[in-house]
Amino acid sequence: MKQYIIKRLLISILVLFGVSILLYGIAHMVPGDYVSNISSGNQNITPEMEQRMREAYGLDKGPVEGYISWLGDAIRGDFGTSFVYKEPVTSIIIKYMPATLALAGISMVLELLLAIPLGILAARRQYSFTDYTIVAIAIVGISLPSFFFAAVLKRVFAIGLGVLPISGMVTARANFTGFALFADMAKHFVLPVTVFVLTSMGSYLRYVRTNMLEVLSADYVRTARAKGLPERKVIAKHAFRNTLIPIVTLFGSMIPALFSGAVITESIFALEGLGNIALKAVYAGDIPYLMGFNMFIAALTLIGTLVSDVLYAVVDPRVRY
Amino acid sequence: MEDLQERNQLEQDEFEQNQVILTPGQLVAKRFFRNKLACVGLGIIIVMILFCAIGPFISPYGEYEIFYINSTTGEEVRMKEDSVGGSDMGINVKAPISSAHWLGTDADGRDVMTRLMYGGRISLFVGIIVVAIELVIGVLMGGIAGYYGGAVDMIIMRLVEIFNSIPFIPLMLIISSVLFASGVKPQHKIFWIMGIMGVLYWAGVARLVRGQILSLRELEYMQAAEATGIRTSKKILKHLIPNVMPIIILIATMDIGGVILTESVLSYLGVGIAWPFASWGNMVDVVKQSVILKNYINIWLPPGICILLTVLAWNFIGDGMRDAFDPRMKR
Amino acid sequence: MSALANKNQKKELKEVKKFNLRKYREYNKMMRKKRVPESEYLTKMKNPENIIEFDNLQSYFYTDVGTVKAVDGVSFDIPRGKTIGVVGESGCGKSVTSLSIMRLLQGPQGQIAGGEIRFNQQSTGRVLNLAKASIKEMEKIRGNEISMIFQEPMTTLNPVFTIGDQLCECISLHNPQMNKKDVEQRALETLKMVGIVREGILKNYPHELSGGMRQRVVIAMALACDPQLVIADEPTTALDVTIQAQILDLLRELKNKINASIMLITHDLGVVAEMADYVVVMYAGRVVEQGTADDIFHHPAHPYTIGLMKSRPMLNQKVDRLYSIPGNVPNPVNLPAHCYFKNRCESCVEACSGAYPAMISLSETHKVSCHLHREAGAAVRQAGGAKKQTGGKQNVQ
Repeated sequence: MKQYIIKRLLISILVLFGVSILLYGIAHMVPGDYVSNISSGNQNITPEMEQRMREAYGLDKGPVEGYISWLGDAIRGDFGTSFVYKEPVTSIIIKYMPATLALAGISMVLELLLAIPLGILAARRQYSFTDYTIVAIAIVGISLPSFFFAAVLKRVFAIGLGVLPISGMVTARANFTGFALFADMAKHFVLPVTVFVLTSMGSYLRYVRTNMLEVLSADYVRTARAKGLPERKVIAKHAFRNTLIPIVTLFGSMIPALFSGAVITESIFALEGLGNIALKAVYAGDIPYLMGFNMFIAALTLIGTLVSDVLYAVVDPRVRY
Repeated sequence: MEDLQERNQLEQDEFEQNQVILTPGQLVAKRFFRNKLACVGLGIIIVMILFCAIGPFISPYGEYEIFYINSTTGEEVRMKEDSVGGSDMGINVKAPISSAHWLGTDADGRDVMTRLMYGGRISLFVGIIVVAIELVIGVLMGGIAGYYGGAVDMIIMRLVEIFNSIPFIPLMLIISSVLFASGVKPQHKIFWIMGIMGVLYWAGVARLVRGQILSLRELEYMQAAEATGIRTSKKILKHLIPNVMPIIILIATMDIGGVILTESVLSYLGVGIAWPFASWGNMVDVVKQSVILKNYINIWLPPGICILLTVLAWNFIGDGMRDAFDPRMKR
Repeated sequence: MSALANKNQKKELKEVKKFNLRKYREYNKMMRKKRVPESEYLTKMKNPENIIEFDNLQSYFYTDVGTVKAVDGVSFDIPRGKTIGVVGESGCGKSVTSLSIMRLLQGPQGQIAGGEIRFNQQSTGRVLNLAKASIKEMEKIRGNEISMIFQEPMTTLNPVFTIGDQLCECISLHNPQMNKKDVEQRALETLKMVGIVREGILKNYPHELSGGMRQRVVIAMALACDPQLVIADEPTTALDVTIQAQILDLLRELKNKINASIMLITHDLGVVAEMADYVVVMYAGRVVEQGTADDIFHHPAHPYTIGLMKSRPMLNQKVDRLYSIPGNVPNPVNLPAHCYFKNRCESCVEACSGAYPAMISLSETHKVSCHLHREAGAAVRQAGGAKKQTGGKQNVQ
């Protein structure tokens, strides 16, 4: 087990190298360099400053040399300085991480809390009205463009009924403190989380349902019934423990999806998180920040995959590393 | 006694002849068309394609045509007419639904219905092209990895892992900013976006195809084919490809919906297809202006519904396909 | 014309779907019903010596292409303390019959559509109709009074729980008064009974055991609560020959030890000959012949049984080619009105094209469903007629 984890960690580091080469390659692929593109037309930037910027982003060197010097900094945790915020990328990421983690974390927990029971329920009542309804909601959720769904929700609940705030994280100029602040923030999170959960829950729900159907027709479930176990226990113990195996493998693939979702949801609802900043960085050509952001997510994804591999061995006794 | 037996034999023969034997393809088609939702999906897609392909020829207006209004008479004037230059002329923005503009005009005074048609062209086109690119790369890479195994497999799978550990939207942001910085023209951007999406999506396809080929290689009939000593090319053509085909068709149908959705998100975020071209995604992005969100539902609701319906339809078709190919796994 | 036929076919399929949906709904409703009044499922045994009586059991599968009558009107008895062998080729409804007793058909597609399964419950002295009994009632019976040994030892054990967990679960469920230590003690005893004495077996996972060992565990699980009836559904099919013999010996030994009835389902006539007191031969969802082992093996009456006997490899006979029954089992969706075996039968008579033959008694224990034996049946009935006053005159053509 320990050996396996070490081996996987080494592979992850290798993959992370690959990711960085890919990202660096993309950022530096363009004809001409972006420093001159950005600075052209800006009177305040002198050729000297331009040169300094080139040096700062390793553009004065060849692609290989540039990459090596970038990598050297990156290993020491230095991803350069953001164009827009004039602050080290690392500190920006740390500063805006809580909002994104709160949004993504709450959504992930809710997604699982909804998708797993509903998927199991649908599988148990296959072909019933309940089953059809749940699956229909799942498919519509998958097909809904989140920005459109958000617009409809905003129109109905924020503008039409006026019960929920339209965007932002806190009510401006209200200066709440303590519990009132928490309640205010919670209120602001209702719509983003709803959009997030409903649009991404569907695929997990269907995954759980399909796996549950397969498990329910397995011989060992029949054995459990033949023992005289009550149906509730057959499902909760024998069937659920086996559907857990494919569910933990989802874990690794959930993280990239969560960050993609965060970018969209944060920008729609003007939440001050990593995703929203990344979007602003696009318009400002803030490539150092975008590089740092992507590397951060890639690292998280690899950790997630590793965790799900380890969990896999925990829930399935047949797997031994 | 003898002729009784003979008669029985005849009956048996007749029974066997009456058994309609369908080819696998026919069986799949039959099962597909038995699925009501899949048929509905197919219907929606056909209607959408007709709407977007033929609609622009029927519509009297152009994609970027701007309408003006005579503020004194309230008369609408088309862009190409001479009277446009007059002093009392204003752009006919956010016009309500009327017989001239079935869905009104947008914030720039363009006909929403017509733009919906052009936008649909882009959305559907992007879906199909991106899936075609990802299939070509993915099937090739997955096929090589699965068939040859060993070191080649190792390298390709690590590549797949690299692509899988970068979430799509953030990666798209960095690419888009690079495109933006290097000054790609809007009319070329759409091709860039399609190409990039296709290249980025191959990893998922490759993994599925590789898995399928690996499991096929384990099956007895492949070993039997190997044992008969047929040529490699024949083995691939006759035994491998027909069995990988279902999963390729499945990926294709399942992914088109997803690609259309992603493209619309990119357009909405402003990193996809941009002005003046219409796409369903960038038609919805006017909701960023709260006045339009509140008062001009006719501008943003129709494109949103179009995306929803189209993606839903592709998902229905994908589901129908999966059931048709694999009747064991219902829905 | 073919378009018309196609249209008709489509219409038919639609009707099948509608019909199935209705059946599924009924089933789901039934499954959700918490309480079933006792009066709905309490009945009387015909013969109190029996532990199970099947009476015209019908178990159907409602599929997309139509209703598959997997078991259609099966009637036979399982006497207390005896072994009854159920034989027939695959798909003849043997397993479905046994799953019907336990009410374990894969619903909502598979359902018991009619008939009775009367169970003589010793602990309460009641007679239950298992086809209608409440799920609560069934849960008390399953694994406790009637238990089952399944065919595939590789898949019948849950891969994610230990042997001890799965075995103890069964014991403590039906003996709630026992504490954890007693349960474990009992589990070890049962495992010893099936010949497993291994340190730490309770902590092993199924994948750590061989196929034979797993099957022993499955048998131990079935015997853990001293059942009155053990249903063994092809208990040896998936095992190799030496282990087969061991498992059969074990079953016979255990039967004597706990004095249970065994319903042995198999397509292996050798196994039946060795184990069974009574034999039931099934074909396409119906019983075609039943009797004592002696009746079936030495005086087979139905052409199908005769064919089965002939297709058995014999050690002391030299044959060029093993006999095989020609043709195939009829399509289970549209079964003909006449005898199902007619098209494969070598000794057909004119009457075979008529109605499905009724059960004919050849002797006290031996019954067959074949037109060839109408005369013999009539003779038996006439002989018994003096006693029972039921001797009917059958028109022999």
